[in-house]
Amino acid sequence: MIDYFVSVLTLISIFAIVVLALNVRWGWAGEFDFFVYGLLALGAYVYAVITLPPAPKNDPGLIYMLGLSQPFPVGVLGAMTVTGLVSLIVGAVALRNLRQVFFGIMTFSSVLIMAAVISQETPIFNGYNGVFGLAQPFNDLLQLSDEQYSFFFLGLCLVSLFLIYLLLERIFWSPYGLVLRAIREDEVAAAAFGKSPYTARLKAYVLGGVIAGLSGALLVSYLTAFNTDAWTPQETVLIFACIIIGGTANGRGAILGSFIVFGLILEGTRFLPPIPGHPDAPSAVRAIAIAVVMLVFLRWRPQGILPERHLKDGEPGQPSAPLRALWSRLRVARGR
Amino acid sequence: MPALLDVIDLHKSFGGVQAVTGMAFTVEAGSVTGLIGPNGAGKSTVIETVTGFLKPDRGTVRFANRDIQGLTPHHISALGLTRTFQLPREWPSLTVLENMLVAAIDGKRDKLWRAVFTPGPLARAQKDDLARAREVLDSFGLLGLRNDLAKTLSGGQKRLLEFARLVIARPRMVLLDEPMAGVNPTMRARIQESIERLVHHGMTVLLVEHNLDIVEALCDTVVVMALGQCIATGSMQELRLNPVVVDAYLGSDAVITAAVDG
Repeated sequence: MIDYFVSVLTLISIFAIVVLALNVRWGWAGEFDFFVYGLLALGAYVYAVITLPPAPKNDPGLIYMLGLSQPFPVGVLGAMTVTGLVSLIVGAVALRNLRQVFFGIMTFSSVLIMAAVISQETPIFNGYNGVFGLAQPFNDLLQLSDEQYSFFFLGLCLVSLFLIYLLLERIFWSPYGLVLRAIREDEVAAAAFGKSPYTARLKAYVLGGVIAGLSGALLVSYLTAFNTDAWTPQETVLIFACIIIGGTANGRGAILGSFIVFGLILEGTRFLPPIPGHPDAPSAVRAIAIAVVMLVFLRWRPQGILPERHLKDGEPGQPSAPLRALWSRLRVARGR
Repeated sequence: MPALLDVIDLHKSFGGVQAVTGMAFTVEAGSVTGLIGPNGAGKSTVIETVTGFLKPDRGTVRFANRDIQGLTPHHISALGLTRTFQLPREWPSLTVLENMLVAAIDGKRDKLWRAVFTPGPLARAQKDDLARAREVLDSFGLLGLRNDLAKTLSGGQKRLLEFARLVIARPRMVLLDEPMAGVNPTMRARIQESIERLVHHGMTVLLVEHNLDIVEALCDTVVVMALGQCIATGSMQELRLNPVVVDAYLGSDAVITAAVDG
């Protein structure tokens, strides 16, 4: 049972990273982006071919590019760089004139094109069969047992998630984050105040892409294999569901949403009693549950459980509310 | 006084419609210049083309001795030429205070790399902005609303917020596109005060407005537009006696009023 929880928690923290990536694009910048899951896949592939040894010369069932036998950090950096660059290309085209549903169509088509190319053009990432046989990161140094290693890897994922969360919090509250949200609200008015909507959006798009690449690298090093079956349009819906339920433009909300969708709903439905003669029932129930919860939130609480946070300001000339609270607590402590 | 904005032979058409045909005018630094004319004269198109929201077909726009025609709106605004819109365009799901901070952020601070690597200086600058934002909001009577989302403000409050944003952004020149449109008489006085306050802060103003009393009260020079061209320039008093202007825009009542006043 503990293995099960560790594995679920590991996957949730990996998916939470890609949810945070989509939150940058969708929550902060307001882009209806479908490309993010394609980037997770691309990051996974790129990480794989950087860390795997060269493909065997005489095996037609296993061909892929590169095969550099590099360690985990190099693979992660490579994955993040490639997903960042691909985001730059897609974003530079899509963000110029397309908005909302048109932007969605463009990015969705980009994923389909990428999936078609990767599955048909075998020499890139071994086509439909995908890449497999990846080593566990750092375990050649650590020499841990499988059970110990699963805890180590969970720790690695949680630390990554936490660092990404902190980084994004810093950016969210920065002038850049504020300007980006203003552009989301009204880009024409933002341009009238000297802010470049295109540049700010493109930066957010690349930032989201880089983070999605990290989650892809973590996912493939956890699964040790990856192929085209692993990324379907359904996964994209799940990532959107995390944000809609957890809270739009709120990093904590995105993480909470990941726990609810991937933990409570997806895993929780596994424990439903089986219906005799209907072996597909649990997966159908899962899909229906996600859809119903999403609809309920969109109708009655579109901002999600944890809504977007705002800069709160206390009385003029006074310290802000949290500082004031701290101050009064100090005074109590000093016995006044 | 030197010209801050110089528009020369500006042309803009939409398909077969010639909206602006050879418009030319200047705005002197530190002045309040009015731009009036009948509906469809091309006033809004002039504002849109001067501020880069529309690309002119041909013509020159010089701002502070620099050709700016064809530049993007954000680039022109960063040079110090900002505009408002006929309907106030706040950032609705940001708070009033955040609206002010966005306007206060200059082009050097809103960089992504700075957010990641130099949060300290940014936080200090933000603190200064906050103090200034509170001060300006207080002077516009909006301080109590600073933590409310901008979309919850009334129409008049949104107008005031727009002026407050201009005061904190401190452009060299603002183009006000019908700031009195759809505003009740009490609010009209407050907006007139707000425009005076922009002038007090050293901004040059180009005011597009149909309310001629306000134009007369505020503007040193008035440019009259009809059919995409400038047909006259002068003080409001001179224009009331100009037969071309009377014919195109003011109507004969204006002559009578001017004669009685005179």
